[in-house]
Amino acid sequence: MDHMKFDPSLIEQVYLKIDHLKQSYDEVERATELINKREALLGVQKTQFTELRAVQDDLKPLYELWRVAYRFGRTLPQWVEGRFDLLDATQIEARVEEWTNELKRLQKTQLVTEHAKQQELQKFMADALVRFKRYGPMLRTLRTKGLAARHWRMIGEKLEVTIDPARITLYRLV
Amino acid sequence: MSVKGKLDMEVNSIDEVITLLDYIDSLKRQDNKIADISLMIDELAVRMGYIESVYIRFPDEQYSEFLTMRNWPRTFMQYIEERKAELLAQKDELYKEMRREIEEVFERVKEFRQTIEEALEQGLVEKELTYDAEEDMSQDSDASGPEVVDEGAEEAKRLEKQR
Repeated sequence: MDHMKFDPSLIEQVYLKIDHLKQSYDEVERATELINKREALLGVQKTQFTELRAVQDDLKPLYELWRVAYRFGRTLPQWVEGRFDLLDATQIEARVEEWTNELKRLQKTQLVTEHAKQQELQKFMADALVRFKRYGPMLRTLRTKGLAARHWRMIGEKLEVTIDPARITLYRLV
Repeated sequence: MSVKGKLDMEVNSIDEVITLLDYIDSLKRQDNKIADISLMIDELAVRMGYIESVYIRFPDEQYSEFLTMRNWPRTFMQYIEERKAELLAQKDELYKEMRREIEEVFERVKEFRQTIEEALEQGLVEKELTYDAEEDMSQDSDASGPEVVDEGAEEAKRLEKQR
């Protein structure tokens, strides 16, 4: 998978397409409910929209996987390259935990087990989150409220670099 | 025989008295709906008799209005029958229109299936097919997010080795 790359712009493009598809699906599902009601009123046999239900079964995990991918692609760069002093460690940990659990759940679905590209994407994000989690304790410690400018100076002295908390990023720190 | 007629019936034997008393008891019972309806019909019959006896006293302009009111149940019934016939005629047309909607749904489902198939082929891309990740990283581009995580991990490993 080393030769493969997560391209956020492509991910966004595909996610928006799937999101649009989901909205259209909801619209069509409402229409079928109305059709079945009318059929009952007219006393004719109800039409079975079996294929539509099958679409729903495939669409649900697909939408969930790509929603994680979309959020992952938009948020992770901000955490890694955005201003470190603006990061909320608790919120980040909660989000990472949420995505990890969702990806674990999706790993068992047919979408992932039967489609190589989806499996690759799921695995890439799951692995990246595992790697990111390693920085959790550091992030939590350096984002405690008690950390004052003098502490940053001390850390900088130890590392032999000048650290400005308003300019430093997680990427630079690690 | 009406309820009133039965109640006014002359009784000549103890059996007839007992029968009549049983009948009165049955009328008093709340669950005896037939008797209730029977009583109501008797009452309405009396009222109708009164109406029939007074309508000739109305002046011409009120007489027409009176007839409309008097015929309202029949008029309403006729309206219901006409409406029913009208709706039955519309039923076929509505059904045809609904068939068109159903066909549209099936067409949409085909489109959904196609979009899903296309999406299933999407995911990670070959590095050569996209822009240079390192160049973008130096420009602090959002597009380099997950790659940064990889590089960060590598950087951390290097730092650990140095220590």
